[in-house]
Amino acid sequence: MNALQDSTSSSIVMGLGDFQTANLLRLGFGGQSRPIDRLIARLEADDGVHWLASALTEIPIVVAAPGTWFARSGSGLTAHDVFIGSGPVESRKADRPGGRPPAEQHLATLRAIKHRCKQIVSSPRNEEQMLVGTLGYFLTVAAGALHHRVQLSSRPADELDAALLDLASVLPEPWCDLMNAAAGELQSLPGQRSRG
Amino acid sequence: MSTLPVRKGDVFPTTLYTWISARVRSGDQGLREAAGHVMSVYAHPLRVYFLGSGFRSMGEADDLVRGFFADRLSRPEFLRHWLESKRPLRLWLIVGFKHFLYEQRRSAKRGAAGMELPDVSDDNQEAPDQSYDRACAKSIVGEALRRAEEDCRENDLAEHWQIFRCHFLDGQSYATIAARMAIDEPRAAVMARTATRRFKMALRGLVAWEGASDAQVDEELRSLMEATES
Repeated sequence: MNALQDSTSSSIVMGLGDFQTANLLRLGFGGQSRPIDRLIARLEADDGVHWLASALTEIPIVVAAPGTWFARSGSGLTAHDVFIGSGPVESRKADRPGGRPPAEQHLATLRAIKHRCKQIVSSPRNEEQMLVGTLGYFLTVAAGALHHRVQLSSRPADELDAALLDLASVLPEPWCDLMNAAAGELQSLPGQRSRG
Repeated sequence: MSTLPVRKGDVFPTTLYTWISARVRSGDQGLREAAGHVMSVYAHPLRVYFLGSGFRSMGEADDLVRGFFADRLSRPEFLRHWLESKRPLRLWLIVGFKHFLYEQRRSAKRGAAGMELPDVSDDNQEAPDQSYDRACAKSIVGEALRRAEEDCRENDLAEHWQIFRCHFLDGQSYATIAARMAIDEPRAAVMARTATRRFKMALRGLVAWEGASDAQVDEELRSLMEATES
């Protein structure tokens, strides 16, 4: 505890030094111009959980490498199937009747979804589409890191790590667990970046 | 002290200008609430300005600042004109305060019935405007801290706020904080970022004005930072 804690507004002001004040002002830069800031704000809204449920159905699930698993799933493949699923690609050897996609198909699908989401974010028709695209982008990045130990984004690892942790702080389960675990994986992936 | 409302789960908390706009429209009580807020944040900076300016021989700082607020803030048009001005409130207030001081000076001269009174101005070597800006920076940051803390408490984020304060006000590392709170370090950083977002929204909401873009708000924050760094 220091002198500033448990104090009133006026005593906080009296205790603020110039350096401290400048540092706190610096925290205010940036507004919500970054898509991820706007996404976090949307998720923090009172109806954030309901919005998320709807947004997850809007993410373009692009099947890049159709195969047995995807054919079986067909158009019914959900965001949960792709990003969390029943432990996708634990086995990288082959498709199995039990329902796990082979690693190559799953990874190719993640890349395709990420590419589509990037396209959406770069020229969204509206704010809603931009938010959905941003959500899809970070979900693919998280799934790539967690399930394949691959960094699917060209963004700096520190920036990605921070973004995933920020999203983890506002997402409900199981999505927050995905983001948290993926951030942990990213930290252990020096030099394993797969640009895209 | 009048405070801006913080609504639970509010994504875009009420900015100062939208709050003041609503208060001004709602009649005398609303006007008093708006005035109370403006005074709570800007009375000290205006006193600092006065004490560093050539006006300081005119009387007691508290009396003149109180007189300024009583005169200007009792008129709905003063804050309404600020809303229409598309300028930061701190600039609107300091210009208004200077006008008020000149008015008081003229009035005193008339009252002196021909007696010689020394001319005064605000352009002394102590850069009173810079002192004012520095005081505004601290006052606004203090108010943003207060609002963000209240926001965090109302949204069950008291621990997040505690980590924010320990890190950004006390300068403690996340490792130190995490060890004391028995959580892991990344978790501490995430919790601090959550509180930081609340603080950031509060801060930007306090300095923004009607029609201000994100870039303009950034520029206003930069101006306040420069005042503290010079």
